[in-house]
Amino acid sequence: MAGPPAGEPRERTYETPVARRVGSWLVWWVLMMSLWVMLDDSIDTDELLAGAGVAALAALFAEMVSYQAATRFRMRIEWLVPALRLPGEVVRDTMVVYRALWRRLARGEQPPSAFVELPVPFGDDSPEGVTRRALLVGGTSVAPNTFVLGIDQDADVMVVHRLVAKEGRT
Amino acid sequence: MIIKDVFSDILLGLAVLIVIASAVGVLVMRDAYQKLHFVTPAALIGPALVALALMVQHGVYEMTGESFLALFFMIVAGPFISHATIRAIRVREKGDWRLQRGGQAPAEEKEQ
Repeated sequence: MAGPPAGEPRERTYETPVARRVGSWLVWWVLMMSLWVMLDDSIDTDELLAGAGVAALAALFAEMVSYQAATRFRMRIEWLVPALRLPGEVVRDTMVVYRALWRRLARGEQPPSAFVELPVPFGDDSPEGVTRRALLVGGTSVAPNTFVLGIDQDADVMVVHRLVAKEGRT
Repeated sequence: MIIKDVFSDILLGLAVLIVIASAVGVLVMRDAYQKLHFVTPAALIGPALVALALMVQHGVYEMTGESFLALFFMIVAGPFISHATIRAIRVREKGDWRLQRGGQAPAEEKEQ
């Protein structure tokens, strides 16, 4: 089974060392503080102090949620290369979806939508494996013709729904 | 200046058209699965065109940066929201998101 059912907690199989949790909190704090500085657009001391405080709180919540959900994140830089194709795929899929809309309006044709299985290795349960699956699910669901339902561990397939089944990606 | 205005107006007009077409798509499609496919253009391409129009009109400055930051969050979060939504619909309808498999070959299940 590919993870717990929706709404049920994931079982934590290992305890995260405190040093790593502190490091994770620090990374979150830096990210949140950067966001504050960008949005607030001020380097006045009182503004920065307020930002540091809310960034600390936000980092604490982010770290707690990541810990409770047993989130593990580790990625390879080469996994980002396929993301370069995404803008083109979004434009192409948008045209596919609007062509289907046009056929529906002009001729009353229902789009040939279907659930489709695509061969995708599930991989292991390491942090890298979990991150890879998350990126696969997110990356495949960016373009509007295809949405991922999940990756089936037993069958090594990714189940997707396509509005126009025949024109989608393979 | 006029070219900038015209170009940003074209981008804004395109964004409006995309949102209207998506709304029509949501209205006329048969079920929740099909309707969901029309949310992405309105939630992703529309805002991207608005951010581009802002950049064309005003150049690179603070407000443009904030618009692109907001766009970044939408691009990152949108696909996972679509995934969670369509999976929840399927689980509610069938009890499981996976397809019924008759054999070893990858399955395809057409909507009724």
